[in-house]
Amino acid sequence: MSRAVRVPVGADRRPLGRDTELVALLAAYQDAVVRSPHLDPVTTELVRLRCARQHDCRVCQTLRLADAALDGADTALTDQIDHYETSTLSERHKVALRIVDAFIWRPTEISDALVEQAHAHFTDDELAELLVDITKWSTQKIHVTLGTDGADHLPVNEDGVAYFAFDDTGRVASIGPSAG
Amino acid sequence: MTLRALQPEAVAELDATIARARAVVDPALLAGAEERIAWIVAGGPQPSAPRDERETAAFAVIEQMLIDVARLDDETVQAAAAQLPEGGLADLVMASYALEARTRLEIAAGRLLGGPS
Repeated sequence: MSRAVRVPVGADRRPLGRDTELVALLAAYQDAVVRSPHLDPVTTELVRLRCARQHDCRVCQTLRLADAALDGADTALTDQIDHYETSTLSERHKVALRIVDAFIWRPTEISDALVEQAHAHFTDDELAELLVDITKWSTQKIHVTLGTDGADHLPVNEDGVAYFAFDDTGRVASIGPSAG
Repeated sequence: MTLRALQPEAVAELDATIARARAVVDPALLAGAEERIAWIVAGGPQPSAPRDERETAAFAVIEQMLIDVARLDDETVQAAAAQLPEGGLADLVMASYALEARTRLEIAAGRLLGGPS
């Protein structure tokens, strides 16, 4: 579905007239989630991209997490997300993506089997981070709703992707055409 | 353990976001959004009907955002934005998302971590 910018925006491509304190607090929530140290970058990247595909966020689908790319999250791996159940992804990664799907589509129907799988492959610390991670990446729903999720401004490489990295505070520190 | 015990900083920041949302978003619109989150995400009772054109337009956005945001169309969102002051729809959408996130976290944490957040 094509998507226009649906509200008046400023030069920063963000909606005009928003409450700046609400924006800052939601950003602080996301920063706190990013600072959580329990999940490995590759799992985080698979979770992030699954959220991006499910919500059809254009900018999120164009971005790649640099730390994850450097740890092996290449195109061969991330291309398997859409058909993960029949993919060669590890069982740990498949369980993570099942949790993402349940969280997004039917959280009240998380099965006993999925709960068992979750505890077989993740610690409580990792599971807690995975859950807040899903909500961090799913803030994209705000941008998709308002039509402010366009990716035209990103510095993409020849494959059409851009890599981003966070600093120690959890804020985006860099976006560029290469992971290194 | 609870999500709050395992992710205290993040949960506190989400609490603060929701508190601000309650301070800046029209209470009637936020109440309608909360009813729809409870209905669509948590399987609660059907929400009360919109009382006017403004609520009809705003709640159409919130409901589709909750069900499948990718299928929201330009006309639905632009109609809601036209009913609200500049920035009003963005604030409502941010506020609704924060409440939605908390509801989803409460449900999922209850299942996966053995207790509510």
